[in-house]
Amino acid sequence: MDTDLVVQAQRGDEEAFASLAVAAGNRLHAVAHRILRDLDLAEDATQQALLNIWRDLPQLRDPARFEAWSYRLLVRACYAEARRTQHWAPGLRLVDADEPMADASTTVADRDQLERAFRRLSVNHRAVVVLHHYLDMPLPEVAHTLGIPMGTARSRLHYAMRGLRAALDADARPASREATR
Amino acid sequence: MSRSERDATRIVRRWLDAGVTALPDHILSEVLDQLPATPQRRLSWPAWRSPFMSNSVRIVVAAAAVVVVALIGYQLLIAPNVGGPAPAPSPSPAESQAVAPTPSPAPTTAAEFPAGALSVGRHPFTVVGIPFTLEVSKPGWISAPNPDVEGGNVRKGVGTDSSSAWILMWGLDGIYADPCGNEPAPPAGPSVADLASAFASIPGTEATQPADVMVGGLPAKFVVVTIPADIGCEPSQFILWYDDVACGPDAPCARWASDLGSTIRLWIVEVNGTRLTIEAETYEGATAALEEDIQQMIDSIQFE
Repeated sequence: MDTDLVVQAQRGDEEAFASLAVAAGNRLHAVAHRILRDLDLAEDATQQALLNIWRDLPQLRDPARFEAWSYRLLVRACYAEARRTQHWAPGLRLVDADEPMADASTTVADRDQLERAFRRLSVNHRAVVVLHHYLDMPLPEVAHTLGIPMGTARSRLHYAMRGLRAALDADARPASREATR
Repeated sequence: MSRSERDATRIVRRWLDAGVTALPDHILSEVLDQLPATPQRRLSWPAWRSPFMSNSVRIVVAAAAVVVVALIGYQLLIAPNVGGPAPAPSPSPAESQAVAPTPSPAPTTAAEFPAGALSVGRHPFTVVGIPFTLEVSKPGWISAPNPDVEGGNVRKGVGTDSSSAWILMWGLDGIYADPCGNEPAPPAGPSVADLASAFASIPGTEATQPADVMVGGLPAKFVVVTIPADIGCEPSQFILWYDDVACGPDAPCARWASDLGSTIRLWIVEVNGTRLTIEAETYEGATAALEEDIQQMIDSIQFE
């Protein structure tokens, strides 16, 4: 991230902010989509986050921390979007036709189980999983980004991964039973 | 067969890697179109405001600054020729009246709440008409009155880091039913217990049940409220509670969350029929020593 652009945008330069938004938009949207599991909600959250970033940018003390700071505002926008829409009843989501398949080794059954299990998690837990396992953020940085104690980040990740793993195991069990009959 | 933790992590990571990444152009265009109508929020130095700082407080602060400048000028240009006692080391608007050429005999409520650095020792306060003293056992605390609420705050540090703390003293009346939506609830009932129960029930916060304690030898209630990370709006838009006196057009004096993850301890006590609330806010990573320092100050309160 070009810190000069951040500094210029902090001073109210809209063109500099446009460059930042173009550079950051895709990664913010990708994270929002993975947390919210809904394209429309993710677009709304990303739009709101970008506007909040613009609004609060003068308060960012260290321009070099722009990227982590922007994730913090994005996650808050995801919280707000989740609360606003109340779309959090667990449910089956159809995989979009134009969505690329992850990997041949991640089976359709796995993906459906993960989707369902992930939707049962709170946004708090989803955010930790996405920042750590999608962005490869170390846990201390996840905690700092989300403004939570390290122990909380660790316990949320543990709880979330335990749930996801249980979902995968539940998916594997019937097949195992079938095989032993 | 149960999958290993490593297998599960690998599958989750691959699953997360799938899916859209590109932000549609129209979203970006809408954002950029809205920039001219979205003013940037700029903070004057220091980048921190009192949790209940209002316009009138800013005016008082500005007035105090003018008085300080005038005092310095007075000392340099006039005082050496006149003599007399030296001014107080930490001038406040009220203290400045005592050394001005034409002092006003009528002290304001703000004058009864100290202003400036608090030395180690016992200090007098008056909050919502209740006089009391409080012992400061460690240096570093700074006091500032807030005439709007007939109270004020005592703080350490200037931000929301682990070494900072705020102690706010005022007379609270109720909570916000929708903290993010700027929607106050009707005033709580008249008793200490009513207000304590209200503090423990603010939507979106985590709180302990009210506990019976003593403050200054009087029965009081104690509640701990924490601000979670998922409040759903900016902390400065998350309004917690209010004093039902006007701080603006149709707006009570209210207080918002200073930061995510902060802990606010509330003591509510009734003194001669008037309810007083003392709240102490600390931030993530606050040391036990800081918490003890605050508790010592609360324990040292003596009502007159």
